[in-house]
This record gives sequence, structure tokens and C-alpha cells, in this order.
Amino acid sequence: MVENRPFLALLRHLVLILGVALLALPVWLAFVASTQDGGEMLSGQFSLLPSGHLIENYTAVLFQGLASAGVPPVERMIFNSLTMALAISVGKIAISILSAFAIVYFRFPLRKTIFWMIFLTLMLPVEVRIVPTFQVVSDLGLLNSTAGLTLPLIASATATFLFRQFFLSVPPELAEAARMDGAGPMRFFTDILLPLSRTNIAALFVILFIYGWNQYIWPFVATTDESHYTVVMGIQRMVAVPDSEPIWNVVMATAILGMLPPVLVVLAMQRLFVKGLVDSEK
Amino acid sequence: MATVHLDALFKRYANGVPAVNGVSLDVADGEFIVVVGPSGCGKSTLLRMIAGLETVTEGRVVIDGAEVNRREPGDRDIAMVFQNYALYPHMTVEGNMAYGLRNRRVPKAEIAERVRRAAEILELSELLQRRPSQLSGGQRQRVAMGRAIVREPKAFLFDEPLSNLDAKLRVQMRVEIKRLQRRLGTTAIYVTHDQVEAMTLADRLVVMNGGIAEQIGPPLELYDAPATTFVAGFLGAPAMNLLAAEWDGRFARLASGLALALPDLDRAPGPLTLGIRPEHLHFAADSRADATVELVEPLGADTLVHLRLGDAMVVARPTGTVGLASGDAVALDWPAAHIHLFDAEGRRILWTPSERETRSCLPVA
Repeated sequence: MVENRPFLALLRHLVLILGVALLALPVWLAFVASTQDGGEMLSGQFSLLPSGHLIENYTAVLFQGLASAGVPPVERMIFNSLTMALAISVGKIAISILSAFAIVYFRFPLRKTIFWMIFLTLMLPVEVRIVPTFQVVSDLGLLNSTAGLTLPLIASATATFLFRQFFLSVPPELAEAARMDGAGPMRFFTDILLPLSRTNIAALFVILFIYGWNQYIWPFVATTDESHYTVVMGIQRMVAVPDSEPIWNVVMATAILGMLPPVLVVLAMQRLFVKGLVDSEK
Repeated sequence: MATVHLDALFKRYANGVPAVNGVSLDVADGEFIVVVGPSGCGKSTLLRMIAGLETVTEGRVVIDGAEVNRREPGDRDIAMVFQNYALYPHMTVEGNMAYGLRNRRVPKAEIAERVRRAAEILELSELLQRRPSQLSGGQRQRVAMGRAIVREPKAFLFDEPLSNLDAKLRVQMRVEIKRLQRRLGTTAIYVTHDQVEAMTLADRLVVMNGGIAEQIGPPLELYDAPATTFVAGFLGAPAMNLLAAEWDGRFARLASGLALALPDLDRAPGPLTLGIRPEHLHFAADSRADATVELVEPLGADTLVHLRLGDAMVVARPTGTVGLASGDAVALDWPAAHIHLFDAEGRRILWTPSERETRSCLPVA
């Protein structure tokens, strides 16, 4: 901005501060709640400052869970969520980068048809096909297993489409130069396409990890065994307790813990992520 | 180092469009062949068929005595320099040059040695650890050349390698390419649309038009005796003046009304095209008014004089400066030695008038 008017600067800051408050306040409240004991929460006198039960609450949810609501320790659930989110993001990237490679660089019968079929599945997210998907997974005996939790979420049209667009923007001469250099198709893929897609992969990984982590309805349907609960499911279980008030301090501690891994992933991959979205070095 | 032999090559695309329509060519060992033509003439397709990047519809590509039609580009032992260089952006200069050798399982020590030597020849030694994005256009061009020469291939293929450079660098790289090819003695096939590159680089020139080779031969031979009006008009800047005329058995009557005597031309009356290069069209010390000056463009070393001849425009190119201004009427001299005749189909007509070197084709009113 070239203008330098104090009033505008003030206004800008006000708007920004308001935005930050809007986003950060709920998180702060959740954190505050997670440091209180059960009684404080229900007293109606909600403090905006953390109380002294932080370590106590967190060790409780981490290692004991909430037996009254049938929720296993958060440590266990985080492990489950992590496995699921990682399997979904790695699986999705692996499958979609390979199918995009096939669609862009090979000529085979029905190539266009296959591409459009993949593209069409964009319109069929899990929520829409949940009944038939459940039937299939159940028939395969995959309920209550990591495979059953992740496989139906792995096939991905979005990522295939994104990689296809990226591959189309790679100059075709690169593939030709690699052919002249004696590199076969897979060699070209691993030596040239993969390194070039690095930032795209990173950006996609962040998005898919969060997507996988936040999966709610499918894990809810596909798992009944407590040992396969994910964090997101666990929170829901804690809230939906019959015949009593939810134990909010415990719920909030779980929520805070459940938020941490995606935040860490974003922080760790932030630079690559932004580069993947804006980079044009080809 | 090898010979390349093209045997009646055809390329038709799936939609039926013919790109190359039967080109045959014999490239001798160590020869520098330049294929030149306007865009869409099939020159790049021809090169890509030799490289193996396009399939051959019909005909044979023979490298060093072996047919390679169905061989992968990497197995043909040829190297190509692309117009946009096609350097691998994530590899260093060294990595770019070594990649082809690594794929061929050349021992590490030898790769290092070959890359070092190539880098020395191309003055890239300081830049080996840089990425392509950190190089200037000329340096990238040199890396692309380096990638070709470390392979020590049977032949180099160049696909308009200089068109992405600015004019000054282009001249410099042109000289370098020529020197390098001479030094290495490698057979080279070079595609360009730039006729200066074509004239200066080629041992032999292939002028392509509409998928066929209009004429193949040493550059000056093509310049001095173009086989068709297309070659005549394509080589040389400004282009050869081509004038439609009607041959009546004694005179070639131009549309402007000017009639030129063409001595010893033994030919039935009919239409023909008369060609003369700007540098051969001289002014005559005569009071006739053959043409009027439309525009004078002094270039220093010579001057371009645009002349109106009836409905047609011709260009004369006298050396030095001339005292002419637009509107002046001038008489022209038509030296028989430099008049090219083409028939109605645009093919050269053999014409050897007696005392050719000294004779002028006299205009008759």
C-alpha cells in the first residue's frame, strides 16, 4: 500500500485484530476449559484465564480416556487417527500421481473415457456412497480394521486431476529429452516428474492429511470396536453421553490434543505448501 | 560419427494430415545438413522422425547402415538440442549433462571425465553446480549442447536451437556451433527457419516446403541456381524479385508493358516467371523510364531501392549510397547471367544464352 493515512492504518488493524479474535477465541476458550476441573465449568462463572488442572486433565485423557463414555485413551485414538490420516494421504498421492502419469503420458484405448470416469467420481464423496461402500467393506470382512477405515477414502479424483493439470504444464520436451537420454517411462517418472512434483506433493499432503484427520462419518460407520476409534469420533462419543452432562473439561482437553497433529503438519510443511501453491519453477 | 540415410520418408498424422511427403536424403559422415523452410513445412517433423520422437508412416530411417524405424530414441545413439533447451530444472548443470550417461551405465569416473571435458570446451566449468534457472539464455543453450556432446553420439540433431536467443547471442552461438561441429567431426542435422543460419552453417542445405524437399545442395548452389520459385523466394533477404511474364517466342512481356529480349531461349510461347536478385538488378545509364522509385532505404553498406514496375514492386540493392529520391524514373539493366527463368509450375528453366556473362536482356518498348 502506498497510502499512509493513520486512520486507515488503524482501521486495517482493527479489522485484522477482529478477524484473529474471531478465529482464535474459540480455541482459547477450549484451552481454558481444558485446564479447569469439572465443577468450575458447570458453575456458570466461566473464567477467561486458565486454571490449575492442566497436567491432571491432560494426563487423564491421554492415558485413561473416559471409561464412562466408552472412550479409550486419547493416546490410542491419536495413534488411530494418525494411521488413518497418513494412510489416506500417502495412498491417495501414490495412486493419483500414478494414474495421472498414465493418463497424461501414455496413449491407450479408452484413455479419455477413463479420465472422465475418474473425474465423475468427484461427484460421489463418501457421504453419498456410504451405504454401498459399507456393504462392500463389510462383505470383504474389513470392518473394524485399518484397511477398512482407509481404503474407501483413498481412491481420489481430486488429486488425480491436480496432478494431471500439473503434468500437462510440464514442457513435453522434458519427456522427449529424457527419452533421448535413454530413460524409460518409469525412469522418467522417478528421476524427473517426481522431483518436479515435490512441492505439489507437499501441498497435497497437507490438504489430504487434514482431510483424513477430520474424517468423521466413515470411521463412525466402519468401526464399532473401541480400539479403532479416532480422535474426532472419540470427541463425539464423549459429548453424546446418555443421562448425564458431558464432562466438558475432558472433552476440551481431547479436542486440543486432537487439534495438535494437523497444526504440526501445517507448521512443518508450511514453506513447501506455499511454494506448491504459488511456484512456477518448471 | 555416422552416416544418416533417409529413404522416402512419409509422415501422416492420425487425422490424415500429411506432414512429410516423401523426403529422401543421404547425409555423409561428418556432414552438417541444415533443413530450412517456413513454419509448417514439415522440417521439425522430419527431424523428430530421425530422433524417434515421431513414428514413421512410410519409408526408412537408416543410421550407420542399420534401420532404426522401430528403435527407441534412446537406443539410436543420437543426441538432440531442443529449441527451449529442455534442461531438467531440478538437476544441476553437471546432473543435466551426466543424466544420459548414467542411464547408459557408463562408469562413474568416465562420466565425470566426459562432463569435465565438455564443460571445458563450452566454458561451463564454473557453472557445473548451478541450476538451469540460475543461468542466462546463452549459458542454458551451452548446457543443452553439453548434454549432447558428452554422449559422443553418432549424430547431433538441432531443432531451432538458437531461436530463443537475442540477435547478438544468436550470431555468437551460431559461430560456436559451427566450430564445435567441425572440431568434433560429428554428423549434424540442424532445423531452422532462419536463412542466415541456414546459409552460414550448412555443408548442404535442404529447403523444405509443404512436406517435400524442394531442393538439396550446397547453400551457394541453391542461392545461385534455385530449382523452384519457392527456393528462389525463400533464400536471400530481401527476396529475389519474381515477375510474371508472357513469353511470345522473342520477348518476355512483363505485366508493366516492359518487354525483355531473352536471346537463345528455345521454348514454345507461354507464361513464365522471371527472377532476378536485388543485388543483380542494376541501373542503366539510359534515358528510358523502366520503373519509378517508390522508396529508398539506405543501410550504409548498400541501399534498398524499392521500384514500381507497372503493378509489381521490385527491389534493387546497389552498393553504397545512391542519389535517388522517390518519384524518380530510372532505367534498369537486366544482366542475362543473373536472370532466372521458371515455368508455369515454378520449376527452373534451363537457359544458357551465348555470351551469357556479358550480355544484357535489352528492353524493348
